[in-house]
Amino acid sequence: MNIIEWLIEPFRFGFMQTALIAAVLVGLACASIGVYVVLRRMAFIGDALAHTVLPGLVVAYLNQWSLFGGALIAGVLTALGIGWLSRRDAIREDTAIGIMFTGMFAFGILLISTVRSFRDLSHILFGNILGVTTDELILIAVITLGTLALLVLFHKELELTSFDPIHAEVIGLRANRLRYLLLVLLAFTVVSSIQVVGVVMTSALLITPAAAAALLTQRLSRMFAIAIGIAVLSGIVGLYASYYANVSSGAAIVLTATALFAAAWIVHSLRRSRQFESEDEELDAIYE
Amino acid sequence: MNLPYSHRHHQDPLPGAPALVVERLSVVYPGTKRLALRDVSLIVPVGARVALVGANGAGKSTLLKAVAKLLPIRGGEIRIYGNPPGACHHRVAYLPQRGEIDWRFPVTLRRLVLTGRYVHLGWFKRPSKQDRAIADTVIDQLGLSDLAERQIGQLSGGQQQRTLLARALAQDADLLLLDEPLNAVDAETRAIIVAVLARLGEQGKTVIAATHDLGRLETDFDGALYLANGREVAPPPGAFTGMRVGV
Repeated sequence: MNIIEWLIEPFRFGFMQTALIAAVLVGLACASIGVYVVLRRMAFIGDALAHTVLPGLVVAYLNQWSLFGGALIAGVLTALGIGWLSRRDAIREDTAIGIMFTGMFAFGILLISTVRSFRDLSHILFGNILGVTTDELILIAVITLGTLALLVLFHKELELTSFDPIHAEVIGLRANRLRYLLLVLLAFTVVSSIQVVGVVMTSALLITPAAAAALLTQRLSRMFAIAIGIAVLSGIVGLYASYYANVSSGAAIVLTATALFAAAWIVHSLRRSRQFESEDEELDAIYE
Repeated sequence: MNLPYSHRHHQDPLPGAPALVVERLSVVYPGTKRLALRDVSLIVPVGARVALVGANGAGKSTLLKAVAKLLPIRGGEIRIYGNPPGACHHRVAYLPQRGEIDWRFPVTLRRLVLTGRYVHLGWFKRPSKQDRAIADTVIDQLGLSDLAERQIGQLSGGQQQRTLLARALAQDADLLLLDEPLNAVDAETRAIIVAVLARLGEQGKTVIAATHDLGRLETDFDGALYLANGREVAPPPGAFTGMRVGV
């Protein structure tokens, strides 16, 4: 079997084609919003959102409502709740997140334990990209395109409020409103990502590609491009791994992203040491 | 179409009104009880350059922030060209202290200066060629052209300070609020900033700058207000007073 056949072989199956499209879409959305999550040091919020949607998913499952809908409601409520709890200094943001995140997750686990068969819900925890339905794929596509459109539309405001919220306030731009927008978009993105890698590993898709990109460039536009590239590549490589090695697709996707982060870190370290060397040479030249 | 960030945009100055009137202003930081500013009054005519002088914690930054509408007012009143604060955002520029910006964020010096034009753009509009030209002109004025493509974290303290001043100039405001523009800067930066302040005076712009440096006040400013512990105090013996700005 030659390499082309090897590459094409998995996608003879309809469910693999759906999985590929889902992986690419979710990679696009997670990596783009992840850039802001990393730069604004909101990594903890991404993780928290992924966990707090669990009770929403379980309640929806038990009542046979739309899982997406249940997760979305829980996610958006959490996002607004965190923003509201920490709007004054009485409770710090990370504390508010820590309380909501563990409380909601525990509530979700409690609900799961009332279901006779835990297996039914294990794909919520660990994701099942191979089981994405056409309806879910359409929802993921709508969420991804909507998220990307809003990120482009509000780019200059999101950028400014990320590094200089005070200037934003001075010119009448409410930094807090942009933060709510970001939190709500984050909730939508997390919910679509749960389909692919599950509750436990969703924050990896948000943070790892963007963090790797931040090591490789100091330009925001390039950071978006690199993060998206890493996330999409991880999705595709992860799918092949799960097909040929018969391992969990979510775990394979996340581990690919982790490996790419490690590569970025090595490149970053090499560049740094070379920079120091050339600075040393410059100093030597001055002293000679 | 123009969609400004704030609805209360473009109120015309009241004819004959001073650039800034502060009347018995008291300010409390949210979440605290101590008055950071107590009964401070000030009148700054159009075109004047005024120094707010005092030690750290005297209330200089608090006064500037209240005028920039970054802090709520507990008592008293502020009028900018006869209008309340926030009535006309494009007319007021504020230069923050360096520590209030995330310098590690991946933007270049040129892009940071360009954000000074955002108040004129509002939602959805991208900076035009003209906006970019204005930004490049002020970058040149402040001797930063060679550094324009640098990420902002890779600038020296003095270069960062000049970058922030460049942004305030790019905004083309009439009233400039500068928080410690000369604090801990190198000699080159100091000379450039002082020259810019002089030129602003010639252009009829109004400048209010916080400083804890008593030297050179008489050459760089037209008047001074002395603050200590949130109140106006008498100038130290022999210190520069210039035109009368306190009430």
